[in-house]
Amino acid sequence: MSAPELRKGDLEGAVLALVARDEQACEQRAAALRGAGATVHCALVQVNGLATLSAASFDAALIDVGEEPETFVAFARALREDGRTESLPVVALLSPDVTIERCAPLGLVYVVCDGSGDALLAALCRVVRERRNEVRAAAFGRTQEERLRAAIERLTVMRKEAQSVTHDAKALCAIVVGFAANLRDGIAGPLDVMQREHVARILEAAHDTSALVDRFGTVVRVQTELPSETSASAPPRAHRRTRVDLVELCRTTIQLLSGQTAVKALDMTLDASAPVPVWCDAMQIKQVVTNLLVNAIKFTPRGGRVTVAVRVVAPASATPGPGARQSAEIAVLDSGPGVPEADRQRIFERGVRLARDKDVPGTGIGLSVVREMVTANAGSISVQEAPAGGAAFVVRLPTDMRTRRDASILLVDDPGAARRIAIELQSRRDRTSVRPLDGDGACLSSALEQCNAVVVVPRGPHAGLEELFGPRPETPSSGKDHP
Amino acid sequence: MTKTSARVLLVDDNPRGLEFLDVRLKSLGYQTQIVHSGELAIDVFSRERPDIVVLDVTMPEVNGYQACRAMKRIDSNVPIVILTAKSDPADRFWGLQAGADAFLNKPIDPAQVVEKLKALLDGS
Repeated sequence: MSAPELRKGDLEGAVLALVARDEQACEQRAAALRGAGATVHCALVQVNGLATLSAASFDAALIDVGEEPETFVAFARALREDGRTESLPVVALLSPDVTIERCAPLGLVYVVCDGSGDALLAALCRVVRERRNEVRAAAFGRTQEERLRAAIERLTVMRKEAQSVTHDAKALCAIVVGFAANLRDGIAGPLDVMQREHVARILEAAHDTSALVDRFGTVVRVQTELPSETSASAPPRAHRRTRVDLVELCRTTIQLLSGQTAVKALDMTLDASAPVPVWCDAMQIKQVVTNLLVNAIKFTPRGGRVTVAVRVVAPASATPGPGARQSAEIAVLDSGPGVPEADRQRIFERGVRLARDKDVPGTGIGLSVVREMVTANAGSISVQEAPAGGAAFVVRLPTDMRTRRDASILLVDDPGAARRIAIELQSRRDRTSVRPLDGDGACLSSALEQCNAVVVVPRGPHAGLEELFGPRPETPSSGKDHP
Repeated sequence: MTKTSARVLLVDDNPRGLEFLDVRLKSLGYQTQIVHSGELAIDVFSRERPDIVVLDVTMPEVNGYQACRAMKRIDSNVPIVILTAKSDPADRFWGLQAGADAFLNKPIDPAQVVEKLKALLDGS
């Protein structure tokens, strides 16, 4: 662990906590660190160790374990479990005689066995530098987020103002057009030829002005559209579907996050035996896996475990039809606090955060975006209790069926038929009784049994659920301009 | 243009908004009444039951969609024409969804509005 490029000055300005068994060991070590430029706060492991570390902000902690790592096990566990110290980088200094196995229960990332100054200095310099980089990155992220938020606010104000101006300008044009047309038609008395000509030009210019205003409104609307606004009003769609091996996708995502897992000393593993091909938007599914893993890392205590299991799941139904299709499953299991049963549906709603997580950074948007992306790829997501007691987020996606010769698709372009099919599928999913269908319905039911997928082709300018099921029952009772 | 004595309720929060139509309709013999809020429109509608309504959308408190729905609940036989500067296809959709019999965009030649009113009053 020697680092020739490191100099004593590298610890200049570093604020360190030093924990040892006795005062003598503490003072000796502190003097060396102060000589390297650090400010050192000393504590004794069995007297004031945790209290000292949790009372102030440190760049790193050095635990002088010496020959008795067992003495420090309870202290190290308390450090990991205390929210004030769980992210503090810790360097353990061992006597060369102590085996690494004896240190395992400490759950520490950086262990130095060589008591010489160089190795210790190198380890401390590294953790201090990483810690400072993390703090700088977080501050930079916060600044960028604030700038972005301010820009979005300005854009939103501009958009609303433009909408309002466009509307009012057109309303004024309407008054000009209205009265000019009244003049033209002799409502205010007869006009001579020249007066009629002038009125005709007023009318033409008023219509042109309105068209110009309309164009301006469209440009502003398109140019100021925000990604969040788009996702709030219209869920994302899977745009570029390709054949994707979920196992490989998860493997690369885990590698991308290895820095974050190392910082918390997490054991993150991939559990998969064979490739699992799916037909999906790779970017979106990668985002889904990334969000779930970042969440797992965030909520799993230091030294904990995160497992990503990828497998093919057997069809839900043995008979032909949509239920007879295999699915691909990604399960992200952690050893964190889990999700209470009562909250397992609502955590996927936009903006919902659990009360217990109020001190954990987050916006409550991530899981709702995850669900939207999974849905856009014809999948589903749920959260359960992991076997080890943490959370288990389970994503299911349709497997890649393109090479199956028995795959068949039912195309529906009639809203009535689509509605019947939707009701029947809903009934099957809920395991409620299916109401007998009439002649046409029986044909549809039979067609449904034969196919692997149903595609509804929308018709008309307002196709969609509104056309299939009529007006939404939840209509706002007040509010300007809302139906 | 045939004269008629039908009673027309004109609804717009802007006092100048439907004045041009009011002038034209009166000159054609229609009986008009202008009100400047959705709430007042519902009140007048329920008391006086006009033959036809011309309704703006963008109004404070009770907007045109809500007023339209409320009036249709009171009497679905009275035709309602929405006349608005809102021109998004979604506005038309929600207007018709609220029960409007016609959806016209401002600015519009008032002669076309009168034609639409006549057609609706004739039941065609």
